[in-house]
Amino acid sequence: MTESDEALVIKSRAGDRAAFEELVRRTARLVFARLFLETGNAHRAEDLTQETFLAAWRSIRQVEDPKLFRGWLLAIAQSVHLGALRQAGRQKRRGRQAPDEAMAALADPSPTPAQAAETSESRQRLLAALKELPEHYRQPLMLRYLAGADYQSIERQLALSNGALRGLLSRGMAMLRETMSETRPS
Amino acid sequence: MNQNEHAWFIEQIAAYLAGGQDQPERERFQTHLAECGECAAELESMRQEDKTMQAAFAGSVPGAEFEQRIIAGLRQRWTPRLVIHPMVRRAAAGVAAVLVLGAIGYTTTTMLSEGGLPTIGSGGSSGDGVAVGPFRVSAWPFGRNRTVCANDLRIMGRTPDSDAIDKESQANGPVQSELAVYSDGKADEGDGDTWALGDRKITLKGATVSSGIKESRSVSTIQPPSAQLAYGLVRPDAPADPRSFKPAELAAGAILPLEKADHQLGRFVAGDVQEGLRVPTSGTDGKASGDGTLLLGGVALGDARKRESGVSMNGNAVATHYFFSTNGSASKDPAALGRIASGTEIAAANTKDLANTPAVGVRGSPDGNAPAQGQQPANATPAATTDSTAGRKIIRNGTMEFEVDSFDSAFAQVSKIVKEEGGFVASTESQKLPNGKMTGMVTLRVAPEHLDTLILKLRALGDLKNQKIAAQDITKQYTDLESQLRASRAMEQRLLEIIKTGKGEIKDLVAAEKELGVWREKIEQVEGEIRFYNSQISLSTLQIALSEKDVKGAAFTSETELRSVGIEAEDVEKAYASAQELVSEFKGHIVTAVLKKLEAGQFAASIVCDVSPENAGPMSDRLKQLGNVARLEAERKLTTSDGAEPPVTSKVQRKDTRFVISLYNLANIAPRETTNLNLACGNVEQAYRSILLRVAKSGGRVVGSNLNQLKADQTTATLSFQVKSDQADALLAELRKPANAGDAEVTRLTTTENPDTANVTIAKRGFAVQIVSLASVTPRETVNLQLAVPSVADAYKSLTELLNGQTIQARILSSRLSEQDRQNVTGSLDFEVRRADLPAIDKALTSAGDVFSRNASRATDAENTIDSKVRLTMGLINAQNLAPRETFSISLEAANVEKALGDISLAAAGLKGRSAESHLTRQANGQTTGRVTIDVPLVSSAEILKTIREQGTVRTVETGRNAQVPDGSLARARLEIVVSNGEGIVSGDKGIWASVRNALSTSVAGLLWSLQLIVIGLFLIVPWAVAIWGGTKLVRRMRSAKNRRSVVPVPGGKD
Repeated sequence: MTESDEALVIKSRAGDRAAFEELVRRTARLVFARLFLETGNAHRAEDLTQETFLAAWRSIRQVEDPKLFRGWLLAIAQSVHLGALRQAGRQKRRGRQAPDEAMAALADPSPTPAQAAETSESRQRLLAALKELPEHYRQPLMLRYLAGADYQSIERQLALSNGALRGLLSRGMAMLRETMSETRPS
Repeated sequence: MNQNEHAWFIEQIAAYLAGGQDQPERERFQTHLAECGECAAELESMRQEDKTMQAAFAGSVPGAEFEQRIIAGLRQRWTPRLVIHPMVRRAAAGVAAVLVLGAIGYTTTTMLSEGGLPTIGSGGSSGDGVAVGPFRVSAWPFGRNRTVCANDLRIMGRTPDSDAIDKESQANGPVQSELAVYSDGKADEGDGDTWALGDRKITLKGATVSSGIKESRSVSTIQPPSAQLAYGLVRPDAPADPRSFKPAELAAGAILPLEKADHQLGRFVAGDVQEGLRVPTSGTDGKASGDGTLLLGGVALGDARKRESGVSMNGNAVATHYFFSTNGSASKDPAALGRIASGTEIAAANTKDLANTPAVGVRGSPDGNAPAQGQQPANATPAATTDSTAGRKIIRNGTMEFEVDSFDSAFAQVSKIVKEEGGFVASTESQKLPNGKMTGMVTLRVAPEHLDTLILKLRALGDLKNQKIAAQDITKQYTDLESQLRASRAMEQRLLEIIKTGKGEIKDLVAAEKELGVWREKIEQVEGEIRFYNSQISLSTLQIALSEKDVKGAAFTSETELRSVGIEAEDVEKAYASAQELVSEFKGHIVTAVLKKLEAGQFAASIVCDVSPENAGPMSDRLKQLGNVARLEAERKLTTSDGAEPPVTSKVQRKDTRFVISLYNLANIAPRETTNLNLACGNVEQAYRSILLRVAKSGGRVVGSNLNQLKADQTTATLSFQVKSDQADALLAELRKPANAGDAEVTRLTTTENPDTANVTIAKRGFAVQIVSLASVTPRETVNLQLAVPSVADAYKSLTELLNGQTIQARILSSRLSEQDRQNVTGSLDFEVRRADLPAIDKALTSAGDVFSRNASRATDAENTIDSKVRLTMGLINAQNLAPRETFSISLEAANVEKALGDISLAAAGLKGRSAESHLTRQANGQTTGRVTIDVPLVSSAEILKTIREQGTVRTVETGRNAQVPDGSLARARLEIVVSNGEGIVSGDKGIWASVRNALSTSVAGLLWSLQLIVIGLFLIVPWAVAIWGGTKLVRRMRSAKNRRSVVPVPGGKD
């Protein structure tokens, strides 16, 4: 994987599917994490990730500056998420329950109810805390906790150097702890 | 253990937990961890936290294969790479729908406007190609173009009447007809061969014939319900038997079409080509034949033999006749053939030529009976005429009229000639006319055979004026008489027998005797008549009237003279007596003499007398001494005894001259010449009096005079008088200017001459004078003036003063000064002045102001108007209200608009100008436009223009001149000046906004048009959509109702 992201973007723009797949490998978890943060649901996040990349592939030609690919991708993710919300709202208005939510309610039956409740509670808290953080510091943490990425993986997903990530991670952790400690008593 | 190491450690904790440290770092971290308990606690705390967090999302964290899953998912959906955005798709669908609606609307509009939209109930087809919607139905000539094939021969033709035939065929069953076609063998290869028969043409297409024959085949069979007639003429050298001749032997072009043998056939024949070529078919039965001369349409086509063949078809017999030449002299005259073909001629032939030409006009009859009557031998010749007249009783008589030189010699000649011809002179009668000419009548009797030769011989007798030969056929009367005679003789015989036998009573016998007498008388009468007729028949009567030339010449001529004299005499009685004396002096005799005394001292006498011709001249001279001979007419007339033209040589007898003398005096005689004078005077009464005095002085006679004085202005006088002619001219000269009458003008002077020359005199002249006041006559010339003055009131005042003053004699008819406000003062003056005073008036006007319009009109009526005075109608207006003489439109570009405007206004004020309006516009973009309109005196216009030019750059100057405004000292020039600074020269209709406006308006127009189309389309679609939607709904409901019904019987089932 010696090729830079920028080169891959340019190739994708020319219609190179392999290059785009490489881009997917390099950014999928970031998109997922982001969508997970928005939805709080892994399945939906994964579905929306899929949709996001599909939309991205269809409109990859719109990317003018390859350096801004990630930002553009996340914006697409955002709009896909909003579109999904809108659709769900429409369906709800028509009286049909969104199947995703029904599925989510049934998800992960293995832990005991108490555990599940606790997990769910801490999850909400954590997500809320993450949402509080600035984007910069949030991204590495999102990747680590929501997308299960290891250190190299985070580096790659964010296209960051080692030193930069270390600082971001450390500061992010600190801020997260701070936020968590603030919210915990309530 | 420094502080730095702690900080580094803390910072590394996150990386450590995430496994992001390299080897040296990890060693350093471990070292510090081991050394520092505080940091270890911190690490533990962090690790705990990290674990909690990881645990929280452990279930949802995607596994290692997450990316692969995403990619796999992508790969499944690669293909529709460029799926159109749903919004776009929706928009496109909308656009498509709109376009479809628009297209439907457009099509509908187009079709509606072309009237092509099919409307219900109109049908739209009238048989011969009416456009129905997009389709066009052509009128196919179904069955009309009867292309008939005879082997490979084709006759092209149309039968316009085939409808009629079709109808007939429906009515009468199957229609059959034979059709046969021949070619003359001269057909060009592959070319059509056309025979012209009359006005029809038979074209044979594809007649590629080697032997010249194409076998005939019956193709389409048409048979008229009754008999038909066909004529054929064969080539001269053809064999006589029609059954043996081949079609090749038919004379080229001599095959005649069927004729109007009957009504039905005639209709069929008309205009059709394929009819009428009839040939003998094998197996026909000849029924009759005969020889004779073939006369068709009165034209002998040659000796012909006729052959009839009767063919029975479906029970209807058809007689077909062929004529073929036997002596080779068949005419091929196309005109004759044409006439034959045209049908009417042949009909004539049927009736006219039947007697002599049994070969023609034989008509077949339905029962197949060949008309044998038509076959009488053709031996009748024109020579039979004489034979036919042999038994006839004809009386031939004649009359002739001659003009001869001498009656006696002519009579001798006639006697000689008639003797030569075995005739005789029955009677002669002659008469000698008063002028010595002889005229007479000679009646000749001669045998009828000799009448013609006699007439021929008599021609030499003289100048034949008239000749008439009449033949009277009395055969009928003659035979009647003969039979009458026979009957009478028989009756006589019967009566004689009765008397001879003596049977019966005496009374009867006496009656028989009586009867016999009656009959005998009748017999004699009839015999006499017969004898008369016989004599008339046996001898023709020729009456000859002979007259000598100039038989109408007059016997003698007499000359009479009539002299009619009119004499004006002072003393009529004396003149009357003298005239009578004169008559007796010249030995004439008086026929009538009358003397009348009329009213008013008028005497009239007339004497009619005859005087011998030699005394007529002296008598006339003496009559002139009696008085003034006003008229003398002498008429000399030649009279012949019988009113004929007098011959040059005849003797003229002079008879007495008759005088008709009229004597009268002048007292009541109207003057020949009357002068009518219309006079306009200042003082009518004075004029009247002076004229009366003058007439009395010259010894004239005043017939009537009248002075009518109502007012000084309206006094009129009429005078009528007569004066002696020698004083008339002098008097007239004085009349033109009566003494003491002031100004006088003759408005009319006419002299009339009485056309009645007999009862008038030139010794005196009549005058009729009419005098009117000068003031009451309208002037001939009227001048309309428009005067522009600086001050209307002042000018008005000075002018009225002038007119009322002593220097000028003027008569003011009306005057008006109206002052609405200071600016709007107008005045008008209407007055009459003497022509002599006009220069003074003109001078006054010029000093008062400018005359800017002057219309002088002269009335065409010269009779009731006078020239010595002029009427002036004057309008006074303020010079300030005059339109400017010259107009300048100047557009000026100046750096400082306001300064320029100010300078110009100042300069105008300095030149006695004034600025009418002025405004200044200053726009946001700095553009300043000033407009000023100034009026300056015209003389100063050059100066102000110069000032304007100094202000900046003059862009445009437009100069206009109002020709209606006078170019005087008061004339003004108007300057309309537009001053602007540099910008804004570009006109308002260019630029961005204008373009945008243009584009918008165009787009809106397009939009509206589209909208219109869409609405039309929509309204076409909507009813269909509603219907379909409703239908679907209905069907669905019915179906569901059916379902329900099937469900209902299930127990406990729910709806």
